[in-house]
Amino acid sequence: MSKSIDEKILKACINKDPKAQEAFYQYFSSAMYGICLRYCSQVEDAQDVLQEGFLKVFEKLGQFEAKGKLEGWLRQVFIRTALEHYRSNKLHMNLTGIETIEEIGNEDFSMATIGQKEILQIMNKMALGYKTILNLYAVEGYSHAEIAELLGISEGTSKSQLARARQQFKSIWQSMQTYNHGNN
Amino acid sequence: METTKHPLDSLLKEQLENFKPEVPVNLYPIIKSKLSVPQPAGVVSKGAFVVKNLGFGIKAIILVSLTVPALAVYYMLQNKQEAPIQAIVSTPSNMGVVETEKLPESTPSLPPKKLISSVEKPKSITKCRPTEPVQTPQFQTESGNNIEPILEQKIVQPVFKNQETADKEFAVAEPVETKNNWNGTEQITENRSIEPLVIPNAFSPNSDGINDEFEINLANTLFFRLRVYHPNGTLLFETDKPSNHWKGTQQESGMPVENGSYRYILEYQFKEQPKPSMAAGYIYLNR
Repeated sequence: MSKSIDEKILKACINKDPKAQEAFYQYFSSAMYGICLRYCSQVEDAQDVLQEGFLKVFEKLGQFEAKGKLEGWLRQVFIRTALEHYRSNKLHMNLTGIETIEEIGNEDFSMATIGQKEILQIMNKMALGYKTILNLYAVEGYSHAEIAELLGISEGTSKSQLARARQQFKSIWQSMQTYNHGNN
Repeated sequence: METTKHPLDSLLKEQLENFKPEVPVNLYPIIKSKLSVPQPAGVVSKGAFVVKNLGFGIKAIILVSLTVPALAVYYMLQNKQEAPIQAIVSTPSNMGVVETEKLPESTPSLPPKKLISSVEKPKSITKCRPTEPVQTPQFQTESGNNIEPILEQKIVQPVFKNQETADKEFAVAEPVETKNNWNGTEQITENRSIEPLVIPNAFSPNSDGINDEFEINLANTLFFRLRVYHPNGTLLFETDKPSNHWKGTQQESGMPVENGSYRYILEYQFKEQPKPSMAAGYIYLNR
């Protein structure tokens, strides 16, 4: 896959040419669907967010100036769309600020050979708030300040929730391991 | 703490940053259908603008051509003063008279007909109500004397109803009473049609042997389904057998529910019915 999408297609998309829009969709949909799945608790929601996100993108593509990477901009749009999708449900309200942070040992995951599939399984079992914060911080590389602004929480809450999210990740992973061992 | 990256974070980044799952094929058509239709190029839109202007011109011409004669007529009428206006006003009242004349004509002709048509009439009623077929046999077997007055009103009423423009004169002259009566007879016939469908509105499941169960006794049903819902929307009871009565408990757990009104939805179909019917209401539970 080439690094960036063809300029011509991009311009045609801005002019709302249906064929170019479809090509644009085919080019980015898989990666964006990945984001949607990571930030949503259910497949149906992810599909809704994907639709909503692409509609937004096609509408606002004209506003995107080639300052940054197009994909970075797209990622932002889809992440925000996914967050908005759940903001109405107020699922992030469970992010309460608890400042005591118990860091889990670093060695736990250094040796781990967890595959993508397993990670996704674990993430899907996590609380949506934790999953979101882990996604934002670890995968997207957002700072606590950025996360705090995105989710409408304090920076301290973001930090404590991240620690709790890691803990939950670990405990789910461990329970899955014992379960697998039990089966084997 | 944040300077050294947590191993979990790097693991997640490594594994998930380029997570590209397969997208369901059916999604793009939905998006496409929601995308706004692109505007044609500028040249065409100019043409469209001209067309629009033309359209506007035509509209203006039509408007003027309509208003000018109207004004002319108006002034003419004013010049001739009141006489023509009276003529205009008189026409609607003439029409009204024509109608009122028609109606008395038709109503006297009905009484002789009704004897012949008394058998036919229930059929026309059954067309209106799908629940009737069960009822029609009973209707016919009853003595004609009892039914005749009802039928008479039924015959009169449709005639009256069809005259949407029926004047007050006419209404005062005859059918005020019949109208009221007709409403009454409809209720009666409706009750008759539901006669096999007796749904109680309250019961008392206190094991005293009296009215302990929510009974809907239906015979000869092709299809029967009763569902009772809790006010919070959960299904409390469901059955497809008329003989299976609700005893005021939660079906799964067997726990008795509190006193109160519970919504029920009943679906049923008699053998004579082409389609299933539905009845819904509230059953009051009081122990």
